[in-house]
Formats: sequence, structure tokens, C-alpha cells
Amino acid sequence: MADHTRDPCPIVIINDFGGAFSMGVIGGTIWHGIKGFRNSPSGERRSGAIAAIRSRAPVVGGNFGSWGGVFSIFDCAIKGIRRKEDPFNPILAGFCTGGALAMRGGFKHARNSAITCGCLLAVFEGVGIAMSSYMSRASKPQLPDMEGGVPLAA
Amino acid sequence: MVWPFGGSRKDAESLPAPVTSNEPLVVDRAPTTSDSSMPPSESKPPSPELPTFLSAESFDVSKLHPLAGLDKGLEALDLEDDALSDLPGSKGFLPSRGWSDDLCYGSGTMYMSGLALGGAYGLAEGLRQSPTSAPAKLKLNSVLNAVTRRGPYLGNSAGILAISYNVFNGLFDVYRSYHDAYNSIGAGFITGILYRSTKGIKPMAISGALMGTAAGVWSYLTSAI
Repeated sequence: MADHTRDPCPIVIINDFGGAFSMGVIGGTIWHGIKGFRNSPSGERRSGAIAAIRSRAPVVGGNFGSWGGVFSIFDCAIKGIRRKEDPFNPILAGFCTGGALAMRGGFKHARNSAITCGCLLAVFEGVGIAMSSYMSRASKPQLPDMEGGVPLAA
Repeated sequence: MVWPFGGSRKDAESLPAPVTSNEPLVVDRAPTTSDSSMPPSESKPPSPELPTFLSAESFDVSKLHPLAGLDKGLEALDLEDDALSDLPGSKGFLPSRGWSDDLCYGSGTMYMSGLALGGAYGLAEGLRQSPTSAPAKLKLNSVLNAVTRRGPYLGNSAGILAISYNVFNGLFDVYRSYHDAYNSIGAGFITGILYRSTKGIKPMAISGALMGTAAGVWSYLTSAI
């Protein structure tokens, strides 16, 4: 099933990079702001929070951004190779992303990370399919009941 | 708009051939067409074809045109055309559907270009630092270390600048209900100030002025083209 809420393929990589990076930066700001605030002695809580945000939030954003962007690159590549859009695209893309980003840790690390990411994406896709079928149950088109009546004359 | 989807090429080939012209099309038998020779009336008994077509037992989707892919079930899609932002003054040469588009594409472009620039600088640095007589594996490691040190740093910095600029730009657009170069310049100025906000007044002013100028040049370029 084609997803019409997203932009077409090559350009959507930029969108995914930016969206994932923004999400990571904003989430990292909240996370490390609270963490820096709690871990600082009283009197230095504000400066501690700001220092933690400054040093950590962009790194979180970068990690999120590189994950999302590499995932999108693999997703587009797999779509281009398979000429098909189905839930296996994101699963395969997640597998490749996990492997690619953990490549410097050695083969074993890359393999484990790839399998973890593939399973995670499979769970996401399954939950998404279940949610969408649950949501669209009400608007499913049905054949009218023709049992023993004169059809379409009334 | 309802559009039947779902038939893949492989399944379409395995289906029987499309309905030929000497066999009457199913659509023509439907009394909802404006065929004046067969007015819908209660007194006239229904034509014999109607129940065979419409009863659920004889309704065989594989007899329909294979390209429609109706055996997969109908998928109702609500295709709305993506409207561009109707904010006054926001029509530049870059199409945008609103602030979230600006945010995602802006920060994505800045992050990727920062990553590429920093990565290229790190590549050069790694090649320069490793001695020419070093084995290839050591060289590769040195290059990778330099790339992963320089690339993400520059990419992250450029990315957070773009995020902050786009967030403030969007806030100004909402607050003033229209877009012009002053919004961009103000957003750039605040971004620059925030970026150097822990370094003191003078670096803040310099960075704010630089970012404001860059934003002004950018908005002039986008509106001029």
C-alpha cells in the first residue's frame, strides 16, 4: 500500500534527516535539561542544566538524525530495488540501518544490532497495521444485501 | 476520491484475460446508467441479467478487468492535495506547506551539508595525519576517526542553528500573521545570540549580527529568484 502522507522518495531523505534530528534535539533538550538540573548541587542547578543541554542535546539529535536519515536512505533504496511498497521495506531497511550504524563495532555487534533493529521495526509495522485496520473497520465498503428483493428497482 | 489499488503485476498476469468486446461489459447492464431504453420502473420485472450479476454468489471479481485488482478488496484513500502555505508573503521559490516543512527540510539540509563538509575536512585531516608509510588498515582507522570527530560536530552545530532559526521564524510568522524579511532577520539574530549565549555580550552580538545578516541575504535570495 502506498503511503501518500510522505513526500516522494529521493527528497524525503532530507525531510527524514531533519525531522529525526529536530526530534532528537528537542527530546534531548528536555531529557538532559532535567538530568543536568537533578545532578547539579543546589545553587548551580540552572547552569548545570544549561551546560548539560549544550553538550548533550546536539549529540542526541545527531544520533537520532543519522539513524532516521540512514533508515530513509535504505528505505528508498529497497523501494527502488523491489518496485513494491509493503511492510517488509521498513523491516529490511531497519535491519540494514542497524547493521550499518554498528559496523565499526565489528561483525558480531553489527549483526546483533541489525537483528534488534529489524525486530523493532517489525513490531512497529505490526502495531501500525493493527491500528489502521482497527481504525478503518467502520468505513469498509460492503455489498448491499440482495437476499430475495428486487434489486435496484426501489 | 476512491481509487482501487492493490493489484500487483504478477497477480494481474495470472488472472484470466480482460473482458472482450463481444461479451457485454458488466457495467453496461447496471440500470443506474442513463440508458433511456430501460427505465427503472417497479411494474416491469427486472431483466434476467440483473440478479446473476448482483447476487453475491455469482459475483466473481476475477471476471473484472485484472488491472483494477478488485480481488484484493477496495482500499478507500482520501487523497487531499497538499496545499502550500497560504501565509501572506511566504511564497518564495522554495515551496513550503508550513513551518514543519521548513523545520524538517531546513534542518535536514543544514545537517546533511554540515555532515558532508565536516566529513570531507575530517577525511583530509585523517589522510594528512597518518604517515604515508602506514599500512592501509591504520590509515583507514585514522581517516574514520577524523571523519567521525569532525563531521558530526559541524553537522550538529549547523543543525541546531537551523532548528532554532526555523522555530523562531515560524513563531514570528504566527505572531505577525504574515512573513517578510524582518521575521527572518529577527529569527537569525535571536538564533545567533542564543548560540553564543554562554560566551559573553560581545560574542553574542557578533554571532547575532552574523546570523541576522545571513538570514537577510537568504530571504533576499529566496524572494528575488
